Amino acid sequence: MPGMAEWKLEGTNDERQEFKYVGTWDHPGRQSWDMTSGAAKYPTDLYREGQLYAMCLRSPYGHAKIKKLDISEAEKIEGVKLILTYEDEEIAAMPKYIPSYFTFGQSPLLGTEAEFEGDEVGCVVVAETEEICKKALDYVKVDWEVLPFILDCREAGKPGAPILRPEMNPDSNMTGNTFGAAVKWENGNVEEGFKEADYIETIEYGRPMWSQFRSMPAAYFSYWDDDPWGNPDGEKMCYVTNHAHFPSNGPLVSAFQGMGLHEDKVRALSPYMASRYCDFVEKRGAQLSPVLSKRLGGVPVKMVNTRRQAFDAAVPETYFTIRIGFKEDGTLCAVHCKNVHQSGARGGYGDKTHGHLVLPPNAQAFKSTSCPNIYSEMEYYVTNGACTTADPGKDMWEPVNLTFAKIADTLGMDITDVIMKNVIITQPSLEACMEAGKKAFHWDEKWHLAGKKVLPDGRLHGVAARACWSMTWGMISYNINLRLNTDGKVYMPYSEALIGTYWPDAVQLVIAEEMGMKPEDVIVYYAANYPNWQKGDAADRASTCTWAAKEAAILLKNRVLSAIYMYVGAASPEEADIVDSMLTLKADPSVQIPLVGLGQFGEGFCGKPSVPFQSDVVRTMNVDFCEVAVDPETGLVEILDYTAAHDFGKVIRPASAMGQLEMALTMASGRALREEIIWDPNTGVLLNGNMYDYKVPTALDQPPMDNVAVETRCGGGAYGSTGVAHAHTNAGLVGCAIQNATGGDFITMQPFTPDRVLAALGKIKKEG
Amino acid sequence: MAQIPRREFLKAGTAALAGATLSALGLGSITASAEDGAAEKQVFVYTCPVCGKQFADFEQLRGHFTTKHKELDLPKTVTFSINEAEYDVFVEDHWTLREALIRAIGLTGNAKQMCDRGGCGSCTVLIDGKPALSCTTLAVECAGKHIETSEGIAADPEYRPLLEAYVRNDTAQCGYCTPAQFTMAKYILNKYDFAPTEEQIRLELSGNICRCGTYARHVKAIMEAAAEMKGGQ
Repeated sequence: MPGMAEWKLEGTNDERQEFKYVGTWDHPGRQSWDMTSGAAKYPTDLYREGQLYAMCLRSPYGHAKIKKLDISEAEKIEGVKLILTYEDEEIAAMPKYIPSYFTFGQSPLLGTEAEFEGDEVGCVVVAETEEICKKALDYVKVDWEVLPFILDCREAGKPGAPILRPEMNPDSNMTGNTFGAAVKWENGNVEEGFKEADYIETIEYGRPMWSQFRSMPAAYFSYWDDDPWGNPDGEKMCYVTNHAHFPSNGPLVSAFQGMGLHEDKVRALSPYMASRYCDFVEKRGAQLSPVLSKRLGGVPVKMVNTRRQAFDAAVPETYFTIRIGFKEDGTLCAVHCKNVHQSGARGGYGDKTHGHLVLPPNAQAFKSTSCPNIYSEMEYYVTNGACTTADPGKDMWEPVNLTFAKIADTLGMDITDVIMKNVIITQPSLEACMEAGKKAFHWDEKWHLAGKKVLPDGRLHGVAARACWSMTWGMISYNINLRLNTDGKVYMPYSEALIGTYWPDAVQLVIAEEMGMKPEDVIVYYAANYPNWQKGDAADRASTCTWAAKEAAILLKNRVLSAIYMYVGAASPEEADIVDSMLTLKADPSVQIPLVGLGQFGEGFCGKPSVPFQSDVVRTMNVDFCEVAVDPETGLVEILDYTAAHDFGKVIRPASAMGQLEMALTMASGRALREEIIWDPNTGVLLNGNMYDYKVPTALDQPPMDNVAVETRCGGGAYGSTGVAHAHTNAGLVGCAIQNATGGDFITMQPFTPDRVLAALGKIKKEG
Repeated sequence: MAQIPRREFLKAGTAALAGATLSALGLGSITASAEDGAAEKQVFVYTCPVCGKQFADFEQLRGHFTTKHKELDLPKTVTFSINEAEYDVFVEDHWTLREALIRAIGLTGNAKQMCDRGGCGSCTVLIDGKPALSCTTLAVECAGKHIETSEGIAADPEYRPLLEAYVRNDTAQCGYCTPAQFTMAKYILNKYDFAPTEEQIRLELSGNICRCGTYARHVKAIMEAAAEMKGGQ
């Protein structure tokens, strides 16, 4: 199989077969106690003596420019402490690009042009209360120039469309992408491939903007005070709340880079920032709140956003047109894939200063099929439809899975057979997932030809399956610092905020495994003021982080044994061991002494495995299965069963690994059936930016799940582990199951709402 | 509006900074560690509703207010019964219970607000044993009523099995909605006599939104705690 021959587990002890702690349950997360009791403090919880509030002026228009701004009346309001405008020299001088690898979206921190409704522009008010902030903003006189806006990326690409960001691209609304992925590429010869095909079909597929909104509406709390460990030349310490995961580290980076500070003079106040789902969107408060506090003498300033104002972390819209050629036996032989993608109001994903586009949906995943002839053409367009974030799932697999569903439906084949016939390079992972998933889902009892099964209650029954990569993300190195203290415990600090993946707790198990320590004697702890220490984070990268932790633990164990082996009467380090946090003699395990008081030893490891970041060489797969019931009278869809068979490579911490699956499938079900950001096409105003009108799944909506962990040891993380959540938040599978139920056309636009289902059943007219 | 230039600010002696310490932010656990097996009680801090200054008792706060803010009317004093203790607290008439929890009481577990108001359940407390949204309940309405928050339930030895079931099952991912769901869990256990069904739990939790999709974990934790607590009764 291509690619497999060169690959092997790398690093020390990666082929370990016996595990005492890794892969076991009942290890409560270190932060779980406080998160449950409410002792954990999130930015919205913080309140401090003398605290002030800050809010930005926001655009009421879909696209507009400030011609004139008058803050004189607002400044007179009692309780207003400070108003800064776009003309303020310090704000105007703050870097536009932070961190430096965000290469698009050249918006100023506080500019005059609002690129979507609700965009923060013009001025920021600091006052004693939120109410005074709102009142002051009402008194700011703004002379707006309303500009043409575009919400649909397909419109942005049409000839003659208004150029929305001429400073980025004066000729069109098209933007680039972060990693420089080719806009057009071809493998083989597509036209020749179509000549070989027995069937040629066309697939249309569209996805709206979804809100990725973090559970906590963004709030940025900052103040300045003395550094308790030293104030060289009187420098102050900037205390800020932490928001972004991933190396950008959000406000921390913004604070020290934006204001010319060194990183040691910025301290995060709390490891808690609530959820992020590969979401990098920050509001302006991330960078403004430290500045506002500083300008007021260091008093605490909390910059707040309502839910409505923090609804713009949006998953971008995407439209595909795919022409496929396949043979009588279901073998794919030609793909012509074109997609139009929205890159958001900032020309990428990220906040108003950041623009960033990572691997949007495209035909990349077809490279994991045996199809030799693939043509891909991508277009990314800036719009006025809010800031966009990363694509939630491995969107490259949506067109592939729709292709398989189309082949299966056309030929009357079982879609799992079509998957197995066409997907390559991922064995044994795909086969293992398919077998485990089919068994858990009872696929063989449930599958039928499209439109052929009616449930006793009159609803139409349908099932579908889809495959995807289980990716290991490891684009950054991991910086692990371990210390065996004189108290006999191993310590590892980290400085990254938490988003719910439990990666520190997974790391704890790996260190315990390799060191021979009990898990409770391995303390992986949050150290707010150590920016040089580990900032590992998201679910997928957690596996890579555990790999680096493993390397560090092995180094430390060797160092410790080299120094203290003689205490148990061993003649060399090789004759001694650490078992259950005790120094022992291999030849006589009854000889044990505690590690307490034997010295202090440290080791560090900074690096990462040569994991497959590029998505065309991923070796671990997953297969999801979905069963639906469709009411032919109302078009209402109920998900009866949703099962993921995920190849984790090696499960490190089962509770959180399976939790990530539950999160992703629940999110996918919401996106499939009801989630959609709706903008007024006449005004560009967001219509459903609240939790009543934008419907996320509740406890009653969560589909039944019977997920299965597959372990092939084929990943790039510790012991061959790999990532989780990115792979499952694609909504297309539900649509394929609906088509299997109705026997009609595939619904070409998500979400699969009752009106679209009824249209597919021919009971009402199709949209558009 | 006084402003301090950046260059001067970064030097010592030019800024009059608040003297509060990190501990005033409430950092740290009130539930102690798993090994301790019992929770610590939080020390109550009396907070001035005007300037945020904090005091060890209510009389000190009253004295501060009447001397430092004598131009203002003395705020309303409400006696809150929270988590088995009573506190006199200054609140403004328009404050919600959520605001009072953050600004005057310092218990923020049930002061989360995922939505703009009344749509997410993240601020759910128990008032006289019934779930209520602290973001849509006026603080002055709560005088004389018994309020329970996640901090109190976590510190209650009787509900230790529930707390342990919650942390054992990773019910929290990002954790923002968890304290309110944990509070609802106590209500569910009592309402259904420590034997709720999955359907009942899901129905009762349907007003508490979790973007991380942890619902199944809550069901499992509540049922495990119910089994343990029912057996112990």
